Amino acid sequence: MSALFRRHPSEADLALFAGGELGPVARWRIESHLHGCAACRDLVGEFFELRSQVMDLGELPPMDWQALSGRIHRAVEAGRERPRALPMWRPAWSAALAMLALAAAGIYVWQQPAAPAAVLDASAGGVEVRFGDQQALTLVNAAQPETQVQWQLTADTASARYVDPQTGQITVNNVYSQ
Amino acid sequence: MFIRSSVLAACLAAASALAQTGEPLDPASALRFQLAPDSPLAVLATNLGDSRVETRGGAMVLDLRATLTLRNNSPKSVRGVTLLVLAQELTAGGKGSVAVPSLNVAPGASFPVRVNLRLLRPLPAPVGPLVQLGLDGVLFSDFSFFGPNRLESRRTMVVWEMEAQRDRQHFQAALAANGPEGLRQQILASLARQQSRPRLEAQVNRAPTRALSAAVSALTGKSVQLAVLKLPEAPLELVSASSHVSGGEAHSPHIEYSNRSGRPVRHVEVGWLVRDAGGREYLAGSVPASAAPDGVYRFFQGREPLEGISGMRGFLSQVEFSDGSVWIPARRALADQGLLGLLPVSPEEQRLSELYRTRGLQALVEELARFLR
Repeated sequence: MSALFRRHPSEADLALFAGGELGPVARWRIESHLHGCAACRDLVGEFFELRSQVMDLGELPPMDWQALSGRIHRAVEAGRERPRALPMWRPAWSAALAMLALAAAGIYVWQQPAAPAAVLDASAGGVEVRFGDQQALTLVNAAQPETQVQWQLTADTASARYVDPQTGQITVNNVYSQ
Repeated sequence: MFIRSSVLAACLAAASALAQTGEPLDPASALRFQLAPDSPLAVLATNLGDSRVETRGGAMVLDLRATLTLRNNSPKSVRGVTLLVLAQELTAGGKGSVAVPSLNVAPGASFPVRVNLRLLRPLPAPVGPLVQLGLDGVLFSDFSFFGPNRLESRRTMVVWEMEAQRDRQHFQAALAANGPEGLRQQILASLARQQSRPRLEAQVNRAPTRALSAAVSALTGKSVQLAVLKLPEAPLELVSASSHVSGGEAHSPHIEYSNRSGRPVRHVEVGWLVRDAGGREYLAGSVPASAAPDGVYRFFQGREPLEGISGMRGFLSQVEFSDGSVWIPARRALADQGLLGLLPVSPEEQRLSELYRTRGLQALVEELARFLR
């Protein structure tokens, strides 16, 4: 598998793939990854299953669309026939503008990326905290290759411990997500 | 007008970035180390060795290889030191620490602490030092402590010191009972355990997962009960523990315990073991038993994610009481439960076995004797 396809797609992309909602390039990339990754294939299988379960939930309750349409038309007509008390001030327009502003604000907030996740990594090479893709801090192990590195995780700390080759002392590196 | 000013701003930013990339940065200006005036430790020297700051593309990379030489100005022996490492940034996080346990620094003596870190920052470089170092705590031989303790380093260092005393006693007893050859057998067994201990690489994601991921996890995952290991003389009893598991991912376990010690408890920690689909067991981590922040653990074997989790176990690994005293499991209890081969050895056992590996049996015997005087 080439480096391009080695990296696991996100769960969201796999879910979108299972739902047939990805563009052609993303779909091709994920298909190529799935050829060589059993774990992601299983996950996509679960998404397929989940999707079929959701689709089996049943039809929406019946609704009288004609009656609803009639009510909307009557409300619009009643609004037109009402006399205008203040010709220069148009409450309907003001309300519409306010709604538009609210909708724009809503879209703006919705499109803002969520605060990136704090991710802690612990391995023989060191410990790292990053936020999304942005590295925040890496404490590097300086252990000699033959020295054992003991690493450990808690929910908010990643630790790596080794014997420092220069000082002969135990050194414990920790990074924190909080 | 707007377009013209935007272009101008972009040009200025690019020029600024180019200016930064062309200018070598001084590692000394990237680091600041400060101690409180009443600190029992004093800085004798700071050596930045081959530390360097360089620019790569649009980012600045700080590779810090610093050695600090500190002197114990107190009338007591120092057993452990924790330095707080703060990386300058606007967002939260970027906090680390470098701790040195298993010390035996007499009053007036000096000792080195090495700090190796790598920091990546987008250009332009922020104003001021990139990394600030400070003292979080010092533990003395009588278990007294000095420092702001922002990282709960007091509890951690007390646990390390108690483990150190426990494990030194174990090796001293082997030496007393069976002579140097008996000690050699014990230390070789320790080195073998360290070599063969099954390990997982792991990643913890602290942020709440995205709604889609959380919903899928809730539907596809399952709640798994941890089999609770009972250690004799434990002051608390683990009543139940469970974790939500989905594939090779697991959430921090929810743990219930009952306190049978009659003493108020400040902190409880539980060791957490996971078993893969092939039946091999690993230490997944250590989790606080109360008010634990939720995290999603992803486990890897090499580069591949763990295929699945077939079972989990939990055991009481440490208890801190409200008076600051700490309980840890006895070595015998860990051995009886088959945990010695699964848990990392204590820092002191690691230090002693490394001493044997690099300097031989006689050096180890002399080192053990130093603590009997």
